[in-house]
Amino acid sequence: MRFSEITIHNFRQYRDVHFDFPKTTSCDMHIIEASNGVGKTNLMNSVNWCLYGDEPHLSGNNEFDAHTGDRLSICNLAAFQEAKSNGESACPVFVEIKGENDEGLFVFKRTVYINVQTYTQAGADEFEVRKFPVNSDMELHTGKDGELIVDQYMPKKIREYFYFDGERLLNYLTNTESTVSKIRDSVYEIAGVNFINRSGEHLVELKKGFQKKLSALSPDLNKITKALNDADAEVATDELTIDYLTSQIKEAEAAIAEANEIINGRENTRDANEQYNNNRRIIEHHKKSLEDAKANLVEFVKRYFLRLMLYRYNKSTLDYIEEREAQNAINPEVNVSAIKDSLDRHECRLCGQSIPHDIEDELRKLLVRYESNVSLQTLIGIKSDIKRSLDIKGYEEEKEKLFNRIREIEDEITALQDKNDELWRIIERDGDLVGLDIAFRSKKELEDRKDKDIEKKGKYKVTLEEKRKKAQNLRDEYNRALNEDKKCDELRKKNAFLDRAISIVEGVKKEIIDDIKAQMQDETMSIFDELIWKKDTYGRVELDDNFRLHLFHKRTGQSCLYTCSAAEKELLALSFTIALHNVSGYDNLLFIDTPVGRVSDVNRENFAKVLLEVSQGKQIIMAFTPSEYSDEIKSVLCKPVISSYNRLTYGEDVTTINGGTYNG
Amino acid sequence: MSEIKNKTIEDKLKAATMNDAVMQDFLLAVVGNEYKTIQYSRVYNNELDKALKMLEGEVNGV
Repeated sequence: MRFSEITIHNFRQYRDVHFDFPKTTSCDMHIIEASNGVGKTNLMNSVNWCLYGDEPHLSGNNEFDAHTGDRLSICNLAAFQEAKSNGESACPVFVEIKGENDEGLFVFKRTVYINVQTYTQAGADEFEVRKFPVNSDMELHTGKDGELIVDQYMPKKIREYFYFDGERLLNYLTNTESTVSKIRDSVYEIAGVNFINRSGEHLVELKKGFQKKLSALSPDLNKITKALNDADAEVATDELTIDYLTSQIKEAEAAIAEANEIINGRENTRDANEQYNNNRRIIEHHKKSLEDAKANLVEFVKRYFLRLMLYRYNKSTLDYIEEREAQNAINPEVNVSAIKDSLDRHECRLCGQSIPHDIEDELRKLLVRYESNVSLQTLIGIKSDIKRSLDIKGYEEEKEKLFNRIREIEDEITALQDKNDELWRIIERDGDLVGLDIAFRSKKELEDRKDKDIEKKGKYKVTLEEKRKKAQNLRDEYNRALNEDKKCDELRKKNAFLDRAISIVEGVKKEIIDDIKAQMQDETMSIFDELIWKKDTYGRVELDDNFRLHLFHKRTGQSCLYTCSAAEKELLALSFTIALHNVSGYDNLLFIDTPVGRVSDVNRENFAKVLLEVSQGKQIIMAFTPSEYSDEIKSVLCKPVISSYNRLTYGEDVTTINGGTYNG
Repeated sequence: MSEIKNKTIEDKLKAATMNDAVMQDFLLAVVGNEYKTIQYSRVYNNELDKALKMLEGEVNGV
């Protein structure tokens, strides 16, 4: 979508202003020149207000603004006063934008009325979109329907990448959770990933619906399904947490590397910092050894625990057995069943002779005595096992060894940490911290945070494996139950088909994201390389999984975004934005406010050349201050190359366009 | 005809389902639906039923 006209009526300092943006040359480049306070940013605000109903470029409307203060109503003051003196009840405010793309022409218009008594808005916004499709009748869409049309072509959530505000770089380069998710979602939206993502979500919803139906058919399935869903949810949550901790650790490492670079750049702190970092590496190594030593201790305890618990009882049992053995109180081996059999028959089983009564009585007494001692016989049988269980000869030695090892490692860690505390005091004392970047001051905090995150991540990884196994077992159980229940045949087939579909969609989504990331990295670096004046400094741009930018030094390979100047960061953010447009193929304009505010004169010509080239494929509207629109810029962005030029002037609370003719 | 307004997505879906015409038709239809404002469940269910009927037809040699 490109803008062909913008009409502003009574909006802020604009009374009645009409901008034309015709494409009169091969470069769809349009320049607006205005001094500070005349209305460049409010021009961008008027576009946002028309399309989205808000003004993101006002101070206090951005999450990074330090204050939100009172602000004037959007109604132009002069128009307001005139309406009041004419006895009108309200003053109308509107912004109308005419756009065009391959599908046809569009007219977007938002109107509000400001009550002249209360100075507040009377009633709701009136928003309409008139669409003039090629070879078709005009369509009128109002209210929410109109907003849907806007969202289809210029989605609100990615508007920072259409309306680039050079003074709000934090929107592009800061690592707060909200910014990070906004950038990632923006890339997904522009690249169309959100469509396939939604399709995947809908397939999963459909599958859940079938699972519910299956569960209703079979109570067993219902139970297993619930357990499986819970297990899958736990696995998903842990995976997300591990991903988050991994990215936090990477981020901390990058920031620590940045801080090291700054500290190492100072001669009087370099050695101390090197030693400090070396000690930290050794401490990390010792911590791993400590984990292993503690794991060995746990194994040791498991091995000896039962033996130690039963030692006293086993010892007294052995003593009892040995005492009875010494007293010859142990019965000889006797064939009890043969004797009993003989007594029953009243004759000896061996010789067949009948047994006299008195001998029978003696035999019965013998049997009673014998059977009362049978428990002792049993104990004799397990005497050797009891002796083995009492063998704890190596116990004390091994215990001592393990505890000593743990103490040793802990002492070494403590000693190194003490040394590092001392080194840090030296770095702080000698490092001349005045003027250093915040990243340097927070190096210790970053290191502490990184250590905690590594520990947390380790714990999560251990439990994740167990949870995955549990989920897989439940899945197998579910499939077995499913196969056994004939009633579920049709639903089972649908489930299986959906499983395949979901897997394919996930695979395609991952491929697209990987491709986009690779292209974005290459394209961003390519454009940045053309824009930047330090040709031998920056070697590589990387985007992490959340599409956050990381910039790497050409020679050292170290991360160096934090050490870039404001101008370099601005050019990097702009390069990322243009790369996003190019890679996604998203056909929308790029409106840039204050594009070279931080870039010095000598480097502006290069900037202008690169942007001019970009404008051959896309509409670019740039709003400069007079100091920005310097001779270096004018030497490139001049008639007849650019398609339009407008200069704004301000007087008596009103901004007007002065001319529309090029004054370069 | 595919309703997917993103050539990359369309090409990748076709490549991933090159040997499975039924799955290809299904995915192109349901992903294409995401570009419209039609309620997804009706379309998805219809396409799924269609796909399974075609699969049964293939199995039965129709």
